[in-house]
Amino acid sequence: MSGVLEFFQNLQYAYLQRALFSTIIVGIVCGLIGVFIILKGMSFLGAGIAHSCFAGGALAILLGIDPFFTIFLFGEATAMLIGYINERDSSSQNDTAVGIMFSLSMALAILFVGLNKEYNTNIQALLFGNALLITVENFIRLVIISVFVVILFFLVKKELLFIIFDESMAKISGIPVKILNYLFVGMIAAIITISLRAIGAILVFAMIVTPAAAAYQWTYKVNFMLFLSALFGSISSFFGMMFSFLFDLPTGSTIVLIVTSIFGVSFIFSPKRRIPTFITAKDQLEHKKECRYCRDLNNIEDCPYCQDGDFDSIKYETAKVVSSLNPLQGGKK
Amino acid sequence: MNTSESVKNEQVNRFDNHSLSNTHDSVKKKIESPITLNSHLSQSSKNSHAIEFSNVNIGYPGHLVLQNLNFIIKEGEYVGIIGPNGSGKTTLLKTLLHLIKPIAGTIQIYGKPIDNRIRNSIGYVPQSSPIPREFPLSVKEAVLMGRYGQIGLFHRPKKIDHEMVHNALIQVHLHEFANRPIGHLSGGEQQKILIARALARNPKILLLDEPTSALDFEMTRSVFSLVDELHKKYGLTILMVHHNVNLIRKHCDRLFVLDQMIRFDGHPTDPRVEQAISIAYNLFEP
Repeated sequence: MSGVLEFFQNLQYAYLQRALFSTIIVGIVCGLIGVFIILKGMSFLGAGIAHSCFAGGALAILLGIDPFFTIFLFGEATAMLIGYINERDSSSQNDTAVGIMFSLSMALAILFVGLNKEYNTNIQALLFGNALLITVENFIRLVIISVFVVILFFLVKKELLFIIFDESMAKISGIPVKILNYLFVGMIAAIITISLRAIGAILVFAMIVTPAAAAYQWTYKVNFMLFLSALFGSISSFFGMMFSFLFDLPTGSTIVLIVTSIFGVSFIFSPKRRIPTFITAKDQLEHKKECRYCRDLNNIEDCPYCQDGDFDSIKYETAKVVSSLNPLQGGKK
Repeated sequence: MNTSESVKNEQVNRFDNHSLSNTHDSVKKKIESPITLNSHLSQSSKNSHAIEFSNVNIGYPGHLVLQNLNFIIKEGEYVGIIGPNGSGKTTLLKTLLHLIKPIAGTIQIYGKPIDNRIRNSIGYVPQSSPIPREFPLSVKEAVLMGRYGQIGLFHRPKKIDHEMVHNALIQVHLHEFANRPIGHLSGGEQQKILIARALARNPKILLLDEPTSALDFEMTRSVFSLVDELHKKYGLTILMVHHNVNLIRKHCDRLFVLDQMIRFDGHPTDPRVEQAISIAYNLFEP
C-alpha cells in the first residue's frame, strides 16, 4: 500500500507525469485504431509497420540525427507501400504485403545496427521502449499527433466501418475507398511512430491488437467496442506504469502483460461464447416466425442454426425429437 | 432549406408515397405530401425509359466482354438476366453502376449519361455471403450504410436518414430486428437486410446480382417474393442476374440471355428462349 502511495507522491515529478500520460494516451489511441485493424483482419499490419519504424530509428542512430523524422518516414512509407501492393494486387492477401515489408525492414534494421560499430543503448530503447525517458518535446509531439489522429479517425469512422464491412458496396456508394484505405494505414503508421518511445517497436503491436481483441469479446456494438478497447488500453497503461514503478520492471512489458491478462479474462468470460441472453421472449416469438428450424423446436437454445451459425442436420433432427417428447418445455425468457 | 435538404425531403416523399400503407402511423404523419422526384431526375423522369443502351461495347484492356448492346428498359420493368459464367452479366451491372466505363456507345439513365450523381438513384444488392456471427454491427447500422453516399464524407446521419432506414426495414418486414446484431440473422434475413440497404438509397432502379446464390430453396423463395412485392408495390425498375433459369422466368416480365452479346431479349415465355439458352450454354449435341 505504501508503495502505491509512493507512486502517487512521485507523480509530482514531471518525468513520471510525462511517462504516465504518454502511456495512457498510447493505450487509448492504439485501442481505438486497433478495433478497426482487427475488424479488417489486418492484425499483422501493426507488427510490419512497427518493425519498419525500428529500421528508421536504427538509421537515425547510425547517422546521429533525431530519430523522430526517420521513424515517421519509414513508418509512413511502409504503410503506403503495403496499401499500394494490396490495392494493385487483389489476388494476394493483406498479410502478404505486410510479410514482405516486415522482412525487408528487419533486414534494413539489422544492416543499420551492424554498420554502427559502437553499441548504442538507444537501439534497446527503440525495441523495448522506455516511457521514463520521454522528453518534453517528444511528449508534445505525441499529444499533437494523437489528437490529430483521433479527430481524423472519428471524422471518417462511419466510412471506414463501411469499407471493412463491404468494400465493394462502399465503392459503389461513392465512398473514396482508395483514399480512405491509404489514410487508415497512414494513421496506423503515425500512431506507431509516437508509441515507439513509450513502449517500443516489439510491444506496440500488442497495444494495437490486444485491447481491441479483448473488447471484441464483450460486445456486438462497434461504438461500445471502441470505448472498451480504449478503456482496456488506458487501464493497462496506468497499472503497467504503476507496477513497473513499484517492482522496478520494464514498463512496456508490464503494460503488455496486463493487457494480455485482460484479454484472457475477456476470452474466458465472453458472453459471445455463452447462450445469448439478449433475446427477449417477444424477440424469440418473432424470430420463430422467420427461422424455420426454431419453428419446429420449443427452445431457441436447441436450434443448431441459431446457436452454431452453421446448420447441423443431425443436431437439428435430435433436437426435434427431444422437443416433441417434451412439448411443455418453455422457451428461454 | 438548402438544396441538399430539399433533395433529401423529396426523396423521402417519393419513397414514402410508395410505402405509406405499411409505415407506422408516427412516420406516416410526419411525411404526407405528393410525390416529387429527385431534382436531378425530375425532368428526365417524364421519360419512361429508365435505362437506354445504344451501340455499347464493354470490356477490359485486350478483352471485349459484351458487344453491340442496344436496348431500352422502361420504368417499372422487371428484367431477368441469365447466361453462363463469363457471359458478362456482372459486367453489365458494374457498367450500370459506373464502375466500368464502356469502350464504345452511350448509356443513359432517365435520359442522362451515367455519372456519380445519377448513380444515387440505383440500388445494388450483391451476391449473398455469410456475415461473421460476431461482427459488431446492428441491422440498423448495416442498412444506414446504404445512405452514406448521400450523407457525405465527414457528415453525421440526420433524422431523415434514420427515417429512411426505418422505412426500408419496414419494406423488407424486418423492422423488429433493427437492433439485433446482423450476424445473428439467418442467410435469407441477411440478404433481405442487403435489399433494405439498397432501398435506403431511395432507388428508382434496383440491381440484384445473384442475390440468392448461397441460400436454400425456402429462403430463395422468400427473397424472390420480397422482390416481387417491391416491384409491384413501388414500381421499381428491377434487373436481376440469376443462375436458376426456371425460377427467374417465373418472376420477371422480360428476359435477357447473355453470352458476350444479347442472345435473347423478350418475354420469358417466348418459345425462342429455349433456343437462345441452348446456344448460350452450348447445349447442342455435337
